[in-house]
Amino acid sequence: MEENRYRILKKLGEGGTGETYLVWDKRLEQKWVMKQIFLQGEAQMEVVRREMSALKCLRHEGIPVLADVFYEMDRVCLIMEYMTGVSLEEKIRTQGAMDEEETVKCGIQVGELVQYLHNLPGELIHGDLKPLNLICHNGRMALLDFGGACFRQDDKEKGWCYTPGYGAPELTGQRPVSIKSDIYAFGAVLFYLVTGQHPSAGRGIYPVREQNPALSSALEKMILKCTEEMPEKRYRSMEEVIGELKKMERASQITGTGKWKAIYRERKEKTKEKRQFRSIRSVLLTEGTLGGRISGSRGRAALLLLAGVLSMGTIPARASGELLPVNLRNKEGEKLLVDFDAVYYTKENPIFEIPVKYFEEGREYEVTISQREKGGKGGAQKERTFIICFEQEKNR
Amino acid sequence: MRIRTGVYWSAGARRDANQDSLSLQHVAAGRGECLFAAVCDGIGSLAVSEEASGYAVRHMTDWFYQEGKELIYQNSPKELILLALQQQIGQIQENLKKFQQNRNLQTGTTFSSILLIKNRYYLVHIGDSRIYQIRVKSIPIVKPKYNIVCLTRDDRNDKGFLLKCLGVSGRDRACFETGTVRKGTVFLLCTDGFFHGGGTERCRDVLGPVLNRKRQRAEKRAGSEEILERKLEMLGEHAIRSGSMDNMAAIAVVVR
Repeated sequence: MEENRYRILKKLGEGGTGETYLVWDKRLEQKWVMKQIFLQGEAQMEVVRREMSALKCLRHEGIPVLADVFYEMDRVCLIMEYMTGVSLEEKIRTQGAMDEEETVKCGIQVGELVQYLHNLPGELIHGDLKPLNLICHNGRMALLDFGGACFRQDDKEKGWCYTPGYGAPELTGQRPVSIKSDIYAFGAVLFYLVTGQHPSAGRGIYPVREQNPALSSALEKMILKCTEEMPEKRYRSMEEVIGELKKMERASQITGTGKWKAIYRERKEKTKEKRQFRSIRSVLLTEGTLGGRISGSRGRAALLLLAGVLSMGTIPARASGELLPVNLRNKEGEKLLVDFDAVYYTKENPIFEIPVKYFEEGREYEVTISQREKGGKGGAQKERTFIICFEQEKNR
Repeated sequence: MRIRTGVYWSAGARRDANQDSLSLQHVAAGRGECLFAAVCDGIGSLAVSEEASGYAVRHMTDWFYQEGKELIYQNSPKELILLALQQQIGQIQENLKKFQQNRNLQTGTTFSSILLIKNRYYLVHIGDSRIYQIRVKSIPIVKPKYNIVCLTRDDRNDKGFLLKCLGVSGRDRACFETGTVRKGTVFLLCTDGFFHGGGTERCRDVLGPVLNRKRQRAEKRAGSEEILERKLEMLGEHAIRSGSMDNMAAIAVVVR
């Protein structure tokens, strides 16, 4: 019955344990991937059981959905979501090694997929993370082949199938397997991406900057830490690895060139602009002399009160019983707040301004500016008086 | 939203001291402009009311530059801003209460303030000072007409006695309101001495035309701030001529 439902369109691949086909579902009228696994003993049954138990509980856009399972003669067929895209292995083989920025971006996406598996109840270990199982699907990385996947609690009795170079040393059975085995494989994948060399080829995984000094030492250290032989020396979790990668991504935005640098600068300027708080006009008019002291809990040590007439702490200065408005401006000409408790910095030279309209032509005025230091024992006082004469404008 | 402002502060015709206080803080915050304006009328029948009014405006000015600034940066929701304003008014009440107890006297002040952040205004009002909103009434074809609305309630009874203020009992509750600001609006904050003599119609007729675009352009050339202050001065002088004996404080805020 199932044979009638799926029509084989083409063969996608072939391995030691089975074959993969692209099939057409006549009932739903859509394409699926059919993975046929030959049942040649208990080991094969175990692989199938693992893949089924792993896939059935996964719901992630980067992981294929298991749609159907059926047995046919001496084989079992898994019907899975058809994810199109180029695998990382093919991409590196055709285009060569990636640059650091691309590797970090790709690494974050793969890391998040692995993190999803590790965060599942029971911690799912993929066990066979390698560039061939990672494809770029709709602009995002996707993870395939869960034949080697296993939940942590039932890993001890089972044998592991792994790819040399990407499989952690503990998969050979010497030490207990944990999520750190996937971290090892992840480091090996990054090594492959930046060097284009298989991790098991030549002298294995070596410091990547020996080949490409343009790469950052942070990435090199990360690959080496991920691929440490002893699991305890590796990162404790995928979260840590992703955190490091995101730091690198941010650093490349700061130190990088081109568009990232421009975007970073633009953001920085926008934030700076947003945080600006510049006084356009500040007026406070009152005859109350107590100011903030009414509450009895205030008091700033350094007060610099200029203009003896301003010692009441208000804008209007008293001159011969009349109120004379005095403005305080900074060197940019912006009005400043003149208040009893206002604090000004001595490095800024404030400008006191009395509008000319308050003076009459042809008369002399005496303007006294006194500086009184407050606090301590009395404080020092300085005073200076100016005689200002307003001459009459001559007729032209 | 662009803002321009004018202030008027006078002891009036028959008084030596001015018990009214005002504060106008106009700042550029990021790409926009924000403003805090407050007028307080110290209650003349009570002792040192200029201290009470002065303290209220200073306290709120300090708040604007400290906490208010952070609220603006963080794009805080209106509820949070209103809550912060309520807390500050509560603090002023408390401190005035302590001050009265320490000095063994009674003092009080009215308080009317407006806080403009982005396209929203926040009003705090207690007492008989007023906040008016002047807008263009109809589409100007021949001559524009202006509409004046009082945004605040009058906390006085039929006999003209003030019922609520900051200080004295320390228990009176202020009124807090918020609303949206549209371009082409004039806000006038004034104490009773200013509007009693002048009348609302006169305020509308004098300040309304600043919303006229042609006039705006002409005023821009001449220095609009000065012209706005001259208009307020005109209104103040008119109030004196009309027999107002009280102190006067007024702030005009034009939102364009």
